Amino acid sequence: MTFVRATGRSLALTWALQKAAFRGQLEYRLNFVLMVVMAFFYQGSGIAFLWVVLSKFHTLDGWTFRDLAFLYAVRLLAHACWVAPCHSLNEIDLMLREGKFDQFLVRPLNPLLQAISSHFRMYAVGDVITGTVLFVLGASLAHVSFTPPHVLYLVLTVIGGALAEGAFVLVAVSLVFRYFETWPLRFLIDNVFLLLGSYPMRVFGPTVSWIFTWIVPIAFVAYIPSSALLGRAGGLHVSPIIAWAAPAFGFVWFIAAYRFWRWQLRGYQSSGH
Amino acid sequence: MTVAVFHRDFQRTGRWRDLPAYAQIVRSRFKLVVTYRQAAFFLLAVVVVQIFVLREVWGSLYASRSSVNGLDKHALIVYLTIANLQGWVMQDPTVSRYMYERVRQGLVAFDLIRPVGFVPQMFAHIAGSALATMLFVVPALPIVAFVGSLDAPASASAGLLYLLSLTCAYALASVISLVLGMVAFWTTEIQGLTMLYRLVSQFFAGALVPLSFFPDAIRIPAEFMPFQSMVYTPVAIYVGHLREAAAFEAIGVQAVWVALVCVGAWAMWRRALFRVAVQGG
Amino acid sequence: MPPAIRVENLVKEFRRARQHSGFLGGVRTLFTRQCDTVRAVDGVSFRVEPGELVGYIGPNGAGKSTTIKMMTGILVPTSGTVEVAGVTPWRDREKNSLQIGVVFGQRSQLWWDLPLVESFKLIAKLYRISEPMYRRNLDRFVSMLEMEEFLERPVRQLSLGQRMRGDLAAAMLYEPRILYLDEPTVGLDAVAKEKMRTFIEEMNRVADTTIVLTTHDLADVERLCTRIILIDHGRVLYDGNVEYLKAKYAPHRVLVVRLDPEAAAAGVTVDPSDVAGAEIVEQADGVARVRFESARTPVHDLIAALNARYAIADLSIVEPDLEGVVRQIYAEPAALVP
Repeated sequence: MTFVRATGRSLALTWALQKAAFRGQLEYRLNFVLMVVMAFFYQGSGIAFLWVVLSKFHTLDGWTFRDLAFLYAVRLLAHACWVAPCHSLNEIDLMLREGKFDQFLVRPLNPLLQAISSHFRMYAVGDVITGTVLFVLGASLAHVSFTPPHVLYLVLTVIGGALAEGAFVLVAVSLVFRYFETWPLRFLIDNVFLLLGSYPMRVFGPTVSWIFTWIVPIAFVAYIPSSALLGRAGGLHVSPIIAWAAPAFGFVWFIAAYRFWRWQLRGYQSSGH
Repeated sequence: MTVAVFHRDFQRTGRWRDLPAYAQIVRSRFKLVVTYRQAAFFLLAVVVVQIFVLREVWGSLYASRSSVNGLDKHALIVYLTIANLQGWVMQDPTVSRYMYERVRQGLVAFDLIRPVGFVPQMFAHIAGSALATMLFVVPALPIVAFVGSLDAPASASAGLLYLLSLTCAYALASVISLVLGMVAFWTTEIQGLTMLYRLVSQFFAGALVPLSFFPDAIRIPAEFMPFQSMVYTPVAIYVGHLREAAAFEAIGVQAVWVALVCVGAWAMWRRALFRVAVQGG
Repeated sequence: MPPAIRVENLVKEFRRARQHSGFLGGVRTLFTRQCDTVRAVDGVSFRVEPGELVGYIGPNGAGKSTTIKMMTGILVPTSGTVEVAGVTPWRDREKNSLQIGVVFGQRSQLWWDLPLVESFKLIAKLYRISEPMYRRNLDRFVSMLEMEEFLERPVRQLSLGQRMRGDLAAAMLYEPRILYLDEPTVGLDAVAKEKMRTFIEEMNRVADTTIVLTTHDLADVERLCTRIILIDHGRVLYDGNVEYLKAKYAPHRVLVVRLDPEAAAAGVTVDPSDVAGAEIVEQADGVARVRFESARTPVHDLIAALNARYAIADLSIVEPDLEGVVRQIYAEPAALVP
C-alpha cells in the first residue's frame, strides 16, 4: 500500500472513531450545555478584558479594539482548530493508567490517531463555537481586505497556528510516558499560548518577543499573521517575507514534536510501565 | 461564623476526642500538597506569566500618562501583583477535587458514616492545605516581586488589617470551593468548572483590571458579587486605599459574605445528604 | 509447517528506580538515581503450532503478562526472538495486529457509550473486514453467544458476562489466526463461564484458531487445553501435556468407599491391611478415603479386594485436579524434573 493510501485510510478510520466518540457523548445533554457555556466564558474572558480596558484607553501600542479583537479571534480560532480534533490527548494519563493505551498498540492503527479519537469532550464544541463567533465579529470589525490570497493565507495561518500550539501540547503529552503526571505542564502551555498570544507581542519587549518567536513560536500563531493582514507588517520584529511565511513554522515545529512522540513511545515499549 | 458552625458540629456529636483525627487529616493533607508541589509551582508559573503580561500591557496602555483615575502606574502594578499572588495562594484545587473524587467514586458513603464528621473533616483538609501553601509563598515571593512590583504595606496597621482581611478572604474562597466540590453530588460532569470559576472570579474581583476602571454596566453588578471581597478588599487595605473606617467596613462586608456563603453551603449540604440518602450516593 | 508462535530465549529486563523512604530519603532520591534491574522474563522458549490451544499459567508476577505483551507487540524484548506467524510483533506492529485477536478479562476493548453492535461495526472498519464476512461472523457469534437481546444496548449497561461475550465476539470477528485470552472468565458465573469455554473450544476446533489462554481458573485449562506451559520467576517450569503433568506429579487418585449403613452403624471400618499398596487417608462415619497410585495398584484389584471383604453401598473415584498439582509445583518448583 502506498504511503498516501495508507495515510488516507488512517485518517478515514480516525474520523469514524471520532464520530463514535462524539456520538457517545450526545446522551449527556446537561453536560453538553454546561460545557459549551463554560468554554464560552473561559475563552471569552480575554476579550472581555480587552473591551473593558480599551473602552477607557482607546489604543494599545497603536492597535485599536477592532484590530485587537481580530488578533484575539485569530489566536482563538487557531486554538480551536487544534483543540477540536485533538483534545482527547489531554486524557493521555488516564489512557496509560487504565491500560487503554496498550489496547491501541494491539490495533492496526497509529496509536497517536487512536489516542486522539478515543474520547470526546463537549468543551471542544464550546471552544469552536466561541472561536467562530468571535472570529466572525472580529473579521467584520477589522480593516482587513478579504481577497483570495488573503483568505488562503488566513486559512494556512489558522492551521499553522493550530500545529504550533499542538506541537507543544504533543511534547507535553509525550512526557507522560516517563513522568506520568504532566497536567500542570499542559495547563501552563495552554495559558502561555493564551496570554502571550492574544496581544501584540511587541508590548512585551524585544527579548520576550524574540524568545516567543524563535524558541516557542507563539508570535507566528496570530500576532505576525494578523499584523500582515492588517497592514502592520512594517512594525514587526521580523521581515515581511517571514511574516507571510508564518504558517510554515507551525508545520515544522509539529513535525519535530511528532518525532519526539515516536521517540518517547519507543522508550515506553522498551522500558515497560 | 465558621468557627461557630464548627463548634456546633462538635457539640452535636459531642466528640472532642476526635481532635487527634483532625490533626491527622491536617498533617496528611499538608504532606499531600507538599508532594504535589510540582503542580503548585506550575500554577505559580501561570500566575507569573499573567503578572508579566499585565505589567507590560498596562505599561503600554498608560504609555506616557503618569496617572489615570487617580491610580499611578506603579501603584497599579503593585496592586495587580498582590492580587494575582493572592489568587494563586487561594487556589488549591486538591480539596474540592478530593471531594469531587470521593463523590464520583461513590466513596462518600463511607465518609458520611464515619464517626468523624464530614464537614469538620473538610475543614481539616483546608487547614492542612493552607499550611502547605504558606510554605510555598516563601520561595514564590521573590519571583513574583521580580516579575511584578511589590511594596511594603502602607503602614503597620495596614499590614495587620491586611492579615485579618486576608484570613476572611481565604475563608470565603475555601467555602466557595467546597460548594463547588458539592456540585459533584448532583452531576459528575463538572470538568473545568473550577477553572471557569477561577477565571470569572478573578475577572470580577478586579485582579486583571481595577474595578474603578470598569464601565458602570459591569462595575455595579460586580460590586454585588463576593469576588471583590476575596481579592480587592485585602489588597486595597494593604496598599492603603482603604483606611481605618473604610477598611473596617470592607472587612465587615467580607464577614457578611463568609456568613452568607456558609449558610448557602449548609443548605446545599443538607440537600446533598438528602439526595445521598434517597439515591444511594 | 512453520510454527504459529516461535519464542526463543526471550528476556525482558525492567529498570526500577529505587525509592528511598523517609523524609531525607525523599531528598536523596532527587540526587541519586539508584536502579534495580528486574528480570521479569528470563530466557523463555517455546513453540506453538497452528491450531493448538495452549494454557499459559503461572502465579502472579511470574512473567506471564510480560510475555504476552511481547507476543502482542506492546513491549520490546531486551533480547531473544519472538515471531508470530512469521512476523516480529514489535517491529511490524500493524501487520501483527491484523492477524491477532486479544481479549483482556479485566478491561473491555468495546466502545463504552455506544450500542454493542456499533462496536462491532467499528472493529469491522478497523480490521478491514469485508461485508459478507462481517455479516456471516456476526450472525454466527450472536447466535452462539446468545447476544440478540443486548446487541442494541450501550456497553456500559451490560453485565460482566454480556460484556465479555461481546469482547470475545469482537476479537474473533475478523478471523485472526491467533487469539490471546487474558483471564477471559474472571468474575463470571458458572453458566457464563461455560458459554465462554464452549465458544473458545469451537473457535479452536472449527476455525483452527491458535489460542493462548492465560488464566488462574484451572478448570478452564482442564476443560480446554491439552498443552500447558507453566511459568514462574520468568522461567518455563513445565511445557507439555496436561494429563502427563497430572500423571507424573500427582499420580494419586482417591477411592471413596461408602460402607453399607448397617455395617457402618455396627462400627465396621476398613482395615488398612485389606488395601495393600494403598493408604487410607481418612475414615469416618462409614466413609473411607483410600489413596492409591494407578500405576502401582490397578483400581479394579482394589475394588475387588474391598468388595470381597465389606458390604459396600457406593464407590467413587476422585481424580487429581490440576489446581492441586500446580499449587504443589509453585510451592516446590525444584521438585519439577524436566
